[in-house]
Order: sequence, then C-alpha cells, then structure tokens
Amino acid sequence: MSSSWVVTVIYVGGMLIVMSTFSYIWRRRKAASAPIVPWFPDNTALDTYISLLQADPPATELQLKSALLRRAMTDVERAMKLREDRPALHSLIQKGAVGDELWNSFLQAEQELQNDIMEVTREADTFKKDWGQTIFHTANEMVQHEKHKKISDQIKELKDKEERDFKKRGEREKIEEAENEKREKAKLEKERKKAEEELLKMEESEKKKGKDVKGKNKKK
Amino acid sequence: MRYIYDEQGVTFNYFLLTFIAIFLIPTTYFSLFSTDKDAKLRKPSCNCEACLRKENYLKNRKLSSTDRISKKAIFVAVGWICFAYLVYKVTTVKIEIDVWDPYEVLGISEGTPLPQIKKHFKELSRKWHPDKAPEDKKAEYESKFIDFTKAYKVLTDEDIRKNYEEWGHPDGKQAYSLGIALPTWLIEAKNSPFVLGVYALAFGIGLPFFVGRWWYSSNAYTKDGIRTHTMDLYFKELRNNSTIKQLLDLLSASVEYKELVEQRPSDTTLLPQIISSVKEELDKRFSEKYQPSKRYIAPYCQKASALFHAHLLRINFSDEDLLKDKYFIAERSIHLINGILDIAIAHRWLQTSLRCMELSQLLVQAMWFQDNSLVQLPYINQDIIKTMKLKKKNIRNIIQLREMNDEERKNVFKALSPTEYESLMRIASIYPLLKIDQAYFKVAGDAIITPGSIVTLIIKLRIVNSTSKAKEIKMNGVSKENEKNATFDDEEDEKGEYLDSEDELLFGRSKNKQTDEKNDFVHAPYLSRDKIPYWWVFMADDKKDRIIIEPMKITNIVTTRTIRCHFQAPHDPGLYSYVAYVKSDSYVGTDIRKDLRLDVKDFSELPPEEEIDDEISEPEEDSIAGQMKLMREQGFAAAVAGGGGGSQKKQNNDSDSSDSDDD
Repeated sequence: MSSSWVVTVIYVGGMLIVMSTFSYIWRRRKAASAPIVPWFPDNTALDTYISLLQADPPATELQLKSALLRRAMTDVERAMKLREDRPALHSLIQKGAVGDELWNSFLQAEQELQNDIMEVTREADTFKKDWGQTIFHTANEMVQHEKHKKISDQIKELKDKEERDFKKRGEREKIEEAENEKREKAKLEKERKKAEEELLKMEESEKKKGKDVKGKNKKK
Repeated sequence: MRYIYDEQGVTFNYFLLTFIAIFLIPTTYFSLFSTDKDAKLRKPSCNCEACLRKENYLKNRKLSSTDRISKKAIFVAVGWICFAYLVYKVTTVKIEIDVWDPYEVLGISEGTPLPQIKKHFKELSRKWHPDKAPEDKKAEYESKFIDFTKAYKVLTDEDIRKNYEEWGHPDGKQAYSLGIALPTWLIEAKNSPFVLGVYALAFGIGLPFFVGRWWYSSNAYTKDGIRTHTMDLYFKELRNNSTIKQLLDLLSASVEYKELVEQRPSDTTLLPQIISSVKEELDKRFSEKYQPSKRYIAPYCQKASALFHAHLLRINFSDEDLLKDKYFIAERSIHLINGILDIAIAHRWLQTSLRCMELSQLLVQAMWFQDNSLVQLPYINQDIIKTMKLKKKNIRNIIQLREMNDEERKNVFKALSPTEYESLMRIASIYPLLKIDQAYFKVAGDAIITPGSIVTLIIKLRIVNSTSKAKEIKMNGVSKENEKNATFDDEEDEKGEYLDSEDELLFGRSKNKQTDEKNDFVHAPYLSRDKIPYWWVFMADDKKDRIIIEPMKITNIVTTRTIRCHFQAPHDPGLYSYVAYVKSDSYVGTDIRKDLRLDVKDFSELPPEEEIDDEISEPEEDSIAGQMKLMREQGFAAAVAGGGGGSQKKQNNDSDSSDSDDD
C-alpha cells in the first residue's frame, strides 16, 4: 500500500517539476525574443504634429496645416513603399526565404498606416470642410516634386564627382606617363651609350686591323 | 497460448545486431571511402603562392580539428566492438530447439528396419520400465518410458504416424507459444524502476527537448539556411539603387557575423592595422578612400567590413584567429549574397540583381571592383599588371589572353618561370567561357507569338573551353547531335505536342549525356572551401529594369546545354526588346548577354486553320486550345484587375473610404 502511495507522489511531483521547468523556460524565451520590430522608423512628422497640437502657446493654423501635410506626405511615401514591397514579400514568403515574423510586421505596418491615413483625413476635415478628400492628392504631388528635386540634385552632384574623378585620373596618368618617359629616356640614353661604346670599340679594332694590314703591307 | 520471453537473449541480440549494423556500416563506409578521391581529380592543381597558402591553412585547420574526427572514430570503434561481441554471443549460444524426433528418442539411426526397431524398443522398455525403477528415480523412469512408447507408436502405428507428420508430435496439435524478443531482465519486477526511468528520460524529456530544439532552430533559419533576422534586415534595407559597396555593407551587417564570428579583445589592436593597410592599398591602386559604413556601426559590422575589404584587396596578415575569421566571413558571404539576390529577384529589380551577381563573383575571386580580370589567374599580381600597363601591352581579360599568340604572351609574362607560365596557361585554358549558340522564342502549337500566350525561351549554351583538338571534335559531334534534337523538337512543336513532356524528354537525354561530366572546382585560392561554379540564366527588360524570367541556376556545363524557360508574353501586340543574361557566380569576365526581340502579333494574324481548331474546341474547356484561350482571357482580366486595384488605392487615398478591400 505504502509503495503505491510513494509511486503516485513521485509521479505527480515529477510531472509538476517537468511542467514548471517547461513553463519557466518558455516564459524566459518569450521575454527574451524581441517584440515585432516596427517596419518603419519613428514617424517624426506625426510626432511634430502632435506636439504642435499640444504646444502651450497654441500654434498657428498655418503651422498645424503644414505639419498635417507633412504627415500626409509621410503616409503617401510609406503607402508607396508598402505597395511595392507587398508582391515581393509575398513571393518570398511562399518560397520560404523569409520568416513569418517579417510578414506579421508588414501586416502590422499596413494596419498602422491605414489608421493613420484615416486619422489624417479626419483631422483635415476639422480644418476645412472636405479637405480630407484632397489632402492626400496634394501630398502625393508634393512627394513627386521632392523626388524630382532630389534627382536633379543628384545629377549635379554626380557631374561634379565625375569631373573631379576625371581630373584626378588625368593627373595620375600624366604623372605615370612622365615617369614612363623618364624611364624610356634613361633607357635610350643607356642604349646610346652602349652603342657609342660599341662604335668606339669597333673603330679601335678596325684601327688595329688597319695597322696590322699596314704592317703586313710594309713587311711585304 | 503462452508468451515466452527471450531467456537467452538470442532473438534480442539479433535485433540489436541489425540495429547497430544499420548505423555502423554506412558510417564506416563513408568515413573510409568518401575521402576526396573525387575532389582531388577535379581540383585545378596549382602551385601559386595563394594556393599554397590556402593549402597550408587547410592543413593547419585539419590538424586542429582532429578531436572531432577522433570522436567519430571512437564511435565507429565502439560500434564495431559491440558488433563483434554480439556476433560472438549469437554464434556461441546454443539454441535448444524442441523438435521431437522418434528416432532420437529411441536412440537409433533413421531408417532402421521395423523388426530391429521392435527389438530395440522391447529392450528399452524392459530396462526403463517404471516398475523396475529405484525409489528415487521413479518419475524419470516413468517419463522416459512414456516417451519411448510414443516414439515406438509413431514408427509402428499408422494413425499416430499421421498425427506426427501433420503436427510434428504424436499427440497432435501442441500448445501454441509466442516468443517476444525482449530479454527477461527488461521485464523483471526489480528492474522496473530503472526501465521506467530510462523510458521517461527518453520520451518525457529527451524527445520534447530535441523536437523543441529542432523547431526553434528551423524557425531561426530560412529554407535556404540564412538567419531569418538577416533576411529581415536585407529586405528592409535593400533598395533598387543600392551600389555594390552598399551591398557589401549590408552583408557585413548580417546577424550571422554577430553570432558566429568571435569578437576578441585583440581585435582592438589588430583591426586598425588591417584598416590602415586597406586604406593604403585603396589609395595606391585606385586613389579611393576607405569609407566605413555609417549605417552599421556595431563593432561586428565594422570587423566584418574590414575583413571584407582585406579579402577583396588580397591583403595578407599573419594573425591566425583573424585569418580564420576572414575565411569564414568570405565563405559565408557567398551564401548570404544569394539571400540578397533572392530579395532583388522577388522585387524583379534587374540592376540590383546584376550587382549582387557581380559581387558574388568578386567575393569568390577576391578582387576589387576595378581590378583587371586577369588577377583571377595564378601568379598574376599587381606588379605584373602594372608592368603590363607601362609597356602598353594591356591585356584586359582572359579571352584576349587566350587569343594572343604564344610568342607575344611569353613576352608579356617574362617575369614568370616556364613552369609558372605553364600552370598559368593551364588555368586560363580551363576557364569556362560561355557562348550562346542560339536563343529564340517559341509558343507551343502556334506559329506566331500572340498576346498573353505562354512563350518558351530556348537558349543553347556552349562552352568554349579547352584548346585540345580532340575535345573540339567531340564538342562538334555533341552539338550536331543537339541540332538534330532541336530539329526533331521543332517538328514535334509543329505537331502541337505538349512542350512539357518534350522538355522531360530532352532533359532526360541531356542528363544522360552529362552525368559523367562535371565542372572543375573554381580556382579560388582566397576561399577556404572548394567551390563548384554555376551560372544564372535569366531574361530581363533592360529599359524597364525588370526581370522577366527569374534566374535559373545551372551547374555542370561542360560542352553544351539547352535551357528552356517559360514566361507570359505581354498583353499588347508589338515588338519588345529583351536581354538574355548568362552570369557566372564565380568567374569575373565570363558573363554574356544577348539581345532578343519578341515580336508579339495580334490574334487576327493567326493562320486560319488554327482558328478552325479554336472554334471546334471552344465548347470543351479541358482541351488545350480552350485552356489556352481561358488563360489568355484570365491573364487579361488579371492585368485589368491589377491596374484597377492600383488606381483604386489612389482614389482611396484621395477620398475618405475604408480601403480594407485592397487586402
């Protein structure tokens, strides 16, 4: 009788120990694994707008409006990025090339963006009736404009850089050429000297020969 | 029915023996015979300085990792000892088989004539009669006597004999017994706590532990064996206009390098030295500046980045640990770059994909972006390149080198000894320069390409490789054969056969042809592992920077290879210009591109008989023509829907409405 009690106690105790260790490890792991990493960095435009709303000497309407436009612009940019990323991410998920975590974070980002867009339209309507319907149109134009501006700036920069590089390369080539020429000259000089010496030698030997010939002639 | 446990452990031993043999024999076989017989054959043997250094490094590493090898050896040895012991046990244990033999019972030989048996039995029964037994042996006598009687009856009585022949015993059917191949000690009551304990350990703790570990590790890595966090990073950071340097920075930020590359305290003194030599080299050779990444400033990123630069610029250093890190980083990067490439392909970005592939080549060959592609060959270092430049005998690539005549070449490489020159030329000659023999489009069953149809791109690749004549002849033979195949295929096409089945046919054929031929390992002395080269074959639209056909990985191109891939033609008729690319993953300067023209014609230009075909098959949805038509229509519909979805989204942005329908 007593032995069966012992076995039961051991069994239950063992089970409890195993379960509790498991739950401990599980919880620790869960705590260690980072929460879903936000898809986008902090939305500074949103922060600016909110802090302007809460500013103590209240901000002017113009400031608020422009801040809201900035926020709409960020939304437009993000929406475009997400739309571009979506098919690519989808195909990668299907292939198993990326983890599900990324997909979750993507969906979350989409959701957040959706909410922000709604909020912006609502906010816009408070400034002016029906502005909410056009604010994103305006924001989109602004984003396009900024893009073009950036590209034209880049072209300028690129041109400057190319010119500089070209100059540098030209200088380097010149230096190398000069060195090369020097070497070539030195080589030529050497060869000339050598030739001269040889010539001298030849002359001398000819002279000797001539003398010999003369001597022979004399003897004759 | 009764159960018998395996008292002597014979059956159990057999079970153990087979179990051990299943693991032991393959392990032993592979550890004995898998040694790099194959590898040695295919390695481009070379004695250049870098190759020797690599060999030396590998040898050192092997020496240091002997403990792992010996562990395996110990395992195998212990296994064989167990095996031998079990075999001994099995063979020595005598099995008592209860076969009842009347002749044996009576103690006479088989086939004894009846009268003699009678006589013998009488003798025995007289001797063993229970009445004659002494007091203490009564039972024994009795049983013996019964046995004798039984045996005698079997041999003399017809009925009992029948019983014996049918059941193996004169008494008829015997009790049926079942053996269980478990030794008795496993069942005994006093051992049960231990047995249960082992069981609980194995299934209660061991199994969940291993399954859990497997699950977590499989979660942490993608299907391609890259850390998921690394891929997350790549996906978020990769841009359409990422430069090669940005790609390199991105590589250096991989999570793998954080987890698998050790950060040593000695790095703080050694890394700046390497960085300064990198700076010097960059300035001297290309008048560039070393720019450490501003985005990834974690120490492990900096270290990986510095070692990447050292790898690409071929800067040597003596510190063993750092060298190991460098080899590891370079080797892993070739795997990781495929992850970035996958993302670029998923986005269908052409330029970024091309850059990834180029970076892969550079990483394998350890070359800087502007390096002359000749440095891939042994013995060619910066000095030789420089003198070549000075002498105005600039050889730009390996193709040029191979086309030069011998005299001229020797003149250029005067600094090399004859053996060095020879090995240089050998490596140059096995360089797999590819050529596209043919590339064309084809639609199954149609003479022209109609909008939205599934087009097959057929590319015939040929390797222009060895200089030996014999091989060339062989090559010609093969290509002729291929041409024959091609014409055969075309005929099949005209008949309107399925392209897929034909694919199988051709691939089956070509596989048979190429199983025995394999590419050599890449001559990559700066990589610690031998690498088999492969090629990416794909098609793209250059102007739109879009990949049309996703890259296929092709290995083992030795002579010729036909590649087929499918894509959907554009939905509007017109002339489209595409580019077919063949890019190597490990050789610089062997890539090819070929301009292609896709002429998409309107449906009205289809030959008339095709239309009749269409009309007939229209009602049946499961016919080929019907499906093709369906596909076209669906393709159109999908395209329209996709375009509409895009514009819808914009509208949604403009006007306030719930746009959850987009998801």
